[in-house]
Amino acid sequence: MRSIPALLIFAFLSFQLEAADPPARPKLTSLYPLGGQAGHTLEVELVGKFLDPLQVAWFYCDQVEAEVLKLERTEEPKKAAADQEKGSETKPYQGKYRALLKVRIAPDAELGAHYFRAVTPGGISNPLRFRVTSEPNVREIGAKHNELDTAQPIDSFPSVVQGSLPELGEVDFYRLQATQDQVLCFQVDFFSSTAPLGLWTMRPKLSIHERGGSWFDPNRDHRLVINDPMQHRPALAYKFPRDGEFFLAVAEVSGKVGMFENPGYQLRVFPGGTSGEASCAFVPDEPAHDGPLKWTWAGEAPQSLVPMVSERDFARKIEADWIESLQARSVLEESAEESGGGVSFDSFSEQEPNDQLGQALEVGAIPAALEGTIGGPGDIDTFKFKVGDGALVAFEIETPITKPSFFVPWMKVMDADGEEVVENLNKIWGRSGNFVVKYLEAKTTCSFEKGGEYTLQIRDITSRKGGSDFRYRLLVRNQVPHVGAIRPEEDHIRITPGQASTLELSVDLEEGFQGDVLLSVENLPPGVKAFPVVASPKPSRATEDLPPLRDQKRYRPASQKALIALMAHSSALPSRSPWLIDLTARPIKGGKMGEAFPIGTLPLLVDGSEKKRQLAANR
Amino acid sequence: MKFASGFGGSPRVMLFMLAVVLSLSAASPQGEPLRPASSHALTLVSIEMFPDEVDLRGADPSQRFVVLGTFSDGLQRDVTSRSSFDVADDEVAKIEGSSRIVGVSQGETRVRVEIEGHSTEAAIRVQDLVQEKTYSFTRDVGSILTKHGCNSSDCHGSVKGQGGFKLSQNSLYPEDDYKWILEGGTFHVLTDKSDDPKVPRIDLKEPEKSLLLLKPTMAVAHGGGPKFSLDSPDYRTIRGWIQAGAPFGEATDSSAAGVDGVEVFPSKFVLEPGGTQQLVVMAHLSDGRSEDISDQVLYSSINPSIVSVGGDGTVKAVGKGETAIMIRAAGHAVSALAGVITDLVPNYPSVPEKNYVDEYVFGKLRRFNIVPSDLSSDAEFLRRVCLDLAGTLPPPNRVREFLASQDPQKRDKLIETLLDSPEYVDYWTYRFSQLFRVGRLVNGGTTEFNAAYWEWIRDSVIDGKPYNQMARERISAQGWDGPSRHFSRFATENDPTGPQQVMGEQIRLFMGRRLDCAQCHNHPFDSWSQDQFWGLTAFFGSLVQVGWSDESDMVIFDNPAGRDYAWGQSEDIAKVIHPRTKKEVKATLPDGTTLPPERQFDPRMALAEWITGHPHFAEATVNRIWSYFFGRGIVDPVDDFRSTNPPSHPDLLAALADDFRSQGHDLKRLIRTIVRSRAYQLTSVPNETNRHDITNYSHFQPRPMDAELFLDAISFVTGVTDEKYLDTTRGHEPVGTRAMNLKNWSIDHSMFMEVHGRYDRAGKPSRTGPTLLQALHSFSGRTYNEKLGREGGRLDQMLRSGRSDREIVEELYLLAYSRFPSQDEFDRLERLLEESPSRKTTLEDLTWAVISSREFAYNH
Repeated sequence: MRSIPALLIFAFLSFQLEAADPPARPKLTSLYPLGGQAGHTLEVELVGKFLDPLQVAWFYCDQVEAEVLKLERTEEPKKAAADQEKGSETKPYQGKYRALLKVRIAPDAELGAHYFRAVTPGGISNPLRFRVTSEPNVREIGAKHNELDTAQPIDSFPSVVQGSLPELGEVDFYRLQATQDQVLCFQVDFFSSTAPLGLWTMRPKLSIHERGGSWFDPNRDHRLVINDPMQHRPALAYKFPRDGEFFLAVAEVSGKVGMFENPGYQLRVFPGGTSGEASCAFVPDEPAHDGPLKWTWAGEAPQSLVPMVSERDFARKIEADWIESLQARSVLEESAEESGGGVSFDSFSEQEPNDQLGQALEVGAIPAALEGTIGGPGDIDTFKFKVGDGALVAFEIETPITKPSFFVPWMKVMDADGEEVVENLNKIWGRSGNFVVKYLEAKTTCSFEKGGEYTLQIRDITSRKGGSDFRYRLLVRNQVPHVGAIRPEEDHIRITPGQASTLELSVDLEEGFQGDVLLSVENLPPGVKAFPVVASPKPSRATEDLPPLRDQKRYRPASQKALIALMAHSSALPSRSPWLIDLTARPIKGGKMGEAFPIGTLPLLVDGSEKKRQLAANR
Repeated sequence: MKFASGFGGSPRVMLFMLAVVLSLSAASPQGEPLRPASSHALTLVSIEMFPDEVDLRGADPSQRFVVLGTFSDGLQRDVTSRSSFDVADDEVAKIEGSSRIVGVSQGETRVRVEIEGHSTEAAIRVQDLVQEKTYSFTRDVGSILTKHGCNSSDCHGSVKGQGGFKLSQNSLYPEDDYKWILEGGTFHVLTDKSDDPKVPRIDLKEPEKSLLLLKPTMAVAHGGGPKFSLDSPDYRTIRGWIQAGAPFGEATDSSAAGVDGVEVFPSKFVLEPGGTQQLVVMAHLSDGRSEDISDQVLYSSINPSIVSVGGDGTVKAVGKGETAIMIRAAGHAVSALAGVITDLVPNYPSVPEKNYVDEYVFGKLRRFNIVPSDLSSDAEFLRRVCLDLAGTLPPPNRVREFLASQDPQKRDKLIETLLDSPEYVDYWTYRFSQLFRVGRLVNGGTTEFNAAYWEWIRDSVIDGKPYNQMARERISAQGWDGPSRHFSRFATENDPTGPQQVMGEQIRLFMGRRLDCAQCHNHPFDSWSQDQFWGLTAFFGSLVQVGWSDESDMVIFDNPAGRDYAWGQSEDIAKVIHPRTKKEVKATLPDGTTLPPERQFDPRMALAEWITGHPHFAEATVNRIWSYFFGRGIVDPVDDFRSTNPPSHPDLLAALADDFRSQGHDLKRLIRTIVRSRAYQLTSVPNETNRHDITNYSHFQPRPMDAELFLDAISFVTGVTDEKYLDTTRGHEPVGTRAMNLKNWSIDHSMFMEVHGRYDRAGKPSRTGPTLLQALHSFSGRTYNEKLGREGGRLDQMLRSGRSDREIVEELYLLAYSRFPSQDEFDRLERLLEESPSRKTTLEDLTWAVISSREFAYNH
């Protein structure tokens, strides 16, 4: 099965090796401002490397468009000249560029995070986030406003302030007028979402102050509240204790954000209801529209993609059609047979007191959804369920309100003798076995040799936390072998007419799915063809050579690599903007083929500059 | 203490500065030779006898009495030997020797003591007399072994024992001692396994041939020398015990009742040259009785150059000073504070008292004939209390206002203002950040870990969180929030320091005890056993973390399944293993309480509750807080409470601890009590009687400012904030952040602070005291020099505003010293300024001299 595509790929790759080095891929580091108001046009400054010539700043949708107004090097010309004087050869410019864009946001543009990327002959850059809001946008004043006396006023709510913190340790102060018991909501978004900052994550800091002075210093401010420094993306709600003047400070926890070019932030200030934070409509950190984006960028390696929400996230919604949706990613007859045929399930709500094994709520046979709340510190909820001999069971936990690491649900299943059968605490070796890393998994599978009644207990991993927002939904069901998450290893494809390119994907095979997966590409531009899937076992990492601490089949799906080859005919027309291609998958087993389901879209660029360069060289 | 305040010629003279700085390290005088006390006519004012009630039981019961007389000079003296004793009914009890009463027959009577027209009485009850003694190993044999030092840390009670014979120190574990004596065998430190032959150390058939009798009488060679003779009562007791079958002793037998506590009388006393004091030691038994054990204990003087003590408990003055007498009974230790004075103050002044702190401090000074210094001046008090409560120098306008105020309550009012100030929050956040070791190298990898931990401390200070709650939250921290970050580095599983280090830190911090020695063996100087050490360690044996997307999401929790270990390591690494028994240790409190199953998920909370509920917690806390205000603890070092390091003011320590405990562990209230006391508000200028006193709080002991406070003070005087301590690669605090408010110790680097002994939160010892480097830094360091004439700085602003020399000098003095310059200082400085070619340079030099002076660098 592999011979033809493998040979084709080999041939194409060999061809590519002989070709000239392509221009470097553009890389974006920052932009300012970080977004704009729907229905408005604004100028945006973009900073990055290898941006010359910048063909286009490309958005995934047509609701937001950008026009390149200017592109310049950020380095001083005299430095470049000095470098030229010193060196015998002029090296290609490696410094940063600053681009000025005119961005038009359609009045009906969807609100939220829109992603855009720079396109050059070197390819498609990493994406940056551009947030579209409905509120009026104001820009930070030019002068320093790092203390109460110089604070920039915010005169009306709601509004969005586009600011930046270009100096090390910088703090920006904003002045607000509030009334007694008024609730204001503050949300700040930093620039770093997909910028290549390595392992460092920016932690925005929000605090509210008032004048007050002290016996020592009449100008001293009083800090009234600060957001939790452990939050990545702070959202602060504050009920003002009196009428009067207050101040909001925006900073970054480590204060080192000023090391970066254009370290912008976007601050939303909007009124909340009377019930405090709960009444603040904070914008979730999700794309504005689902269509082109099924994936998001992995923080540590911005080029690779991970699913926005996978079935192994605590955040996924386990709804009534959940088992059906899993079966849809399988071959119907097989899944129906192996899952015992049950696709619907009842929900059972815990009833306190149920901390002890003897107080378990009996739910009977599975599938069953167990629902409850870890109501306070040390609360344990206990259930009993029945399985048959040799049952293959999956436990899936959803935390609909409070998510890890704030609520970390720890589940254990015990047999009639109280012996532990399985828990969702997974252990793997870290750094070649130097230490053990533990994870609490949202999904755990288990094979029950003996049928009978089993007890399940769930609690927060700490004995400190709990509350009405510590809600969980735990689905206990028979396993459904199916195709799981599919992740492209690159976030775009660049192909030159007459040449080939490849796209590597990781395919998860859940709950013992033994079949094949047919991956196909649709909506290709004219002149570009795709070749079918080639599957190969995923190479194991060094640490996986060590004896496993836990049976990883319980906690992680099997994974396969697949390589899709694409070839562009020499007559394929180059494009200035990327072309969004659709990826689909289809499970195959025992000669039967399941239904096709979409995986997601990827931008593909047919780049003509390389061909031009080669033609010029040949002349 | 006088401070350098004159300026002649150029102030930047290295030799002058070196002399100034190095003079700070002058040693405190100790052990002065005795001079006779002033002789003047004394009259006896009153007497008291101890004990005032006696219950005599068992075989040959007796009680020693001691009589103290209070004289017209205010001193108490032992007048026992000069007193006459008389028993009302000699059929019931009789007098033996000068001051011992022996029970004769069942009944009740009274003993009367009389001296120089003063008399007092004590009640005597004799009952349950027996002819034959019932033996208890602990009470009888243990006492003899303790009394003769056989089980002391330099004999069989040492870590390894002696000659293979191991006894628990002070007979702390009589069951173990009993086993080693009865069964014999050779003790090994690292294992409880032994293949050596076991030879019992007693011979039940022929008691006289028992090693336990042959060795101390030197009938066979004994490295420890002779301990008692064949005709001694101790020999007879041990022989009798062996003859009786060497019983351990029944708990139900009243004569074998356990000892709950030991008390010494007097527990504190003062002697003149040549003076003596007889001690009486009482055991309080589990059946409610008390018994005289003065002859069954081991006495030792902590400092024999001050007092010596005989085997009968008679203390004799040797040299001037203060020390403690250690009294070791079987399984118990107690101490008595002894002082020797030379110069009696003929007309000891009446010293006003502001609160109970003064009562204890001045009471002791009175006993020691040390007169407390005068109340501090307003300027002295203002500067001191601002630094101690808020870490901040008062601004000139506040100094003027305070000095001008005639309000008699102005000190108390200022204290309240400062306690409610945001600077108080800053300063105590800084203090507890030091104490709780907030720092990137300490708490793990990320800046936000520090920030979260620091914010938790700050919130706790703002909220006035009870300290026992704060301690509980820190010791038992789980989850992802502030205090849990303290354990983040440790919880990465393969931390080589192990849970024993973490446990030791908690006990040092919250109980003031150093258990480290007990890691390898029973504590040689205190009553902590190796078993207790590992039992406490096991509370941290399940402390682990679960990681999420990155380490900043790390959640700390306790996994009953235990910790994990690195690939290739022994599985034992993950467990808490007793190094001697090689067995896994379960979490066990020192009293033997083990953790119930329902608390396996939260063992550290159980420990936190035990720690914060223990009397040591309040004692250790008040002692530590006290040390922040007086420069030394009532027990010093503050984390070294032990029987051989007794408190200088045990009553004061107990009173502070009781008050703190009963008032909800309220730190602010404790601080208020301390700073409101007159003792705190005494001047640092000593008088003739207290010049050499460093332990009794007779005058304020000047102390150098902490490095952070010192840097902030320089920034304050010069009007130029320090920006150079900020690390531009790993973190950066906002411009103008005070050094006191820096969160990231180990990132916020500063040469100035390192040179000035910034506290090392990673646990390495910090430099203390003045150094040559500090002196050099003041001459050429950026902090001192670059700020002086900085544009926009304090001096620059004053010059631009056209202020006169006099106004500038006055402002500098108010800024730096919180006082006006004296006329003499004005005159000399004016001459200097008149003669100088450059007014600006000379004023810069003056500013430099001010911030380089001891008066500025010290809190006094």
